[in-house]
Amino acid sequence: MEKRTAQLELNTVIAREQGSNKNPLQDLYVPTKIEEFFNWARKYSLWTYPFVTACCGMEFMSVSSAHYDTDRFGAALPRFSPRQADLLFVVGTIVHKQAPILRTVYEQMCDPKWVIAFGVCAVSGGFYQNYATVAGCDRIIPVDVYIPGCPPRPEAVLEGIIALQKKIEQYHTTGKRE
Amino acid sequence: MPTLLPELKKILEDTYGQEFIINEALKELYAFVDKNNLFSLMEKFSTIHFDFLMDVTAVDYLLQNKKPRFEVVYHLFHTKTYDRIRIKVPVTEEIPEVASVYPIWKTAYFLEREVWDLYGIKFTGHPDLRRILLYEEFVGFPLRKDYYIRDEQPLIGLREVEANPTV
Ligand code: SF4
Repeated sequence: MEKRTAQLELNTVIAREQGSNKNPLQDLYVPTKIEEFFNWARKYSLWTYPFVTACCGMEFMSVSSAHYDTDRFGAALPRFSPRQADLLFVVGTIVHKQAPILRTVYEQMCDPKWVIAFGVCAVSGGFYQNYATVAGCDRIIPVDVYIPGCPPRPEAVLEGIIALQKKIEQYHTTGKRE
Repeated sequence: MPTLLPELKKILEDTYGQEFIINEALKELYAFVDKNNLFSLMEKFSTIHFDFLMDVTAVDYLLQNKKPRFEVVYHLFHTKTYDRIRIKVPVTEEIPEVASVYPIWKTAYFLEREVWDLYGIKFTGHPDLRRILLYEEFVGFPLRKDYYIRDEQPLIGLREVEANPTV
């Protein structure tokens, strides 16, 4: 799909440069499937809801700042209402007192929705194996991509977002989440 | 301002008939105090400008087999002379109660709630002794050494975690 888009752009540029009188509209037709088209749109407009509870939040700030720029992947716009978000970032330690809140936030998000567990605390509880901490936010909500690290490097987060985009390509427009 | 501690030590030892130890390096006065004397002693400290209650915490000596089992520890600070006072109050397992110092220092409001939350030591005279870090549904006191550390008490039903297919 991107290949075709890129090729198209190239064609258009070449045609313009060479003063060709080829109808440019002709290049605007891209044969595709509706599912592929929707998923292509979805994967480049991930509106995120940052659920930030602990020290990983610092790393999340640096990832979303201009230096690493998650906007290149269309995942920079934070929405502070879960109803407007498609991507839930669980950033930091989740304790049992907070578990009902996280589940409520997840349930308020509209389908289609995805979840990224950011940092070992959210992935598995990390070194907090005790009475207060939930051992991994996947015990509360389904998680799509796990990013390990304490905290993860920004590069790891970007790789996680790319992995999620690959996953979104497989998503069924009409189907439900498995 | 010069340190108050040697003078204070003499007065206290005369009044209470027990030993108060000075740690020169830390500029600190240190003593074990009976819990019946605690409140009057603390009031005395506050009148001579020990105006900062730095911490209230507790220790559980279950594994050391020490009797009585708990100690409540108070740290005071003098904001003019920089003197410190550390008071330890032994508390038994059967009656885990000690007088609240909330009427003297308002900051005890949170500190004592934390000790109640994690050790289950009651502070008589505290206006609102509730859990502060954990939730009300929690049963038991997790920093007591007989609480098993991995004993979780979830508020909501947790999911079964399956192996996630790789992307
Ligand atoms: S993974 Fe490390 S950095 Fe992130 S919240 Fe846990 S302890 Fe903090």
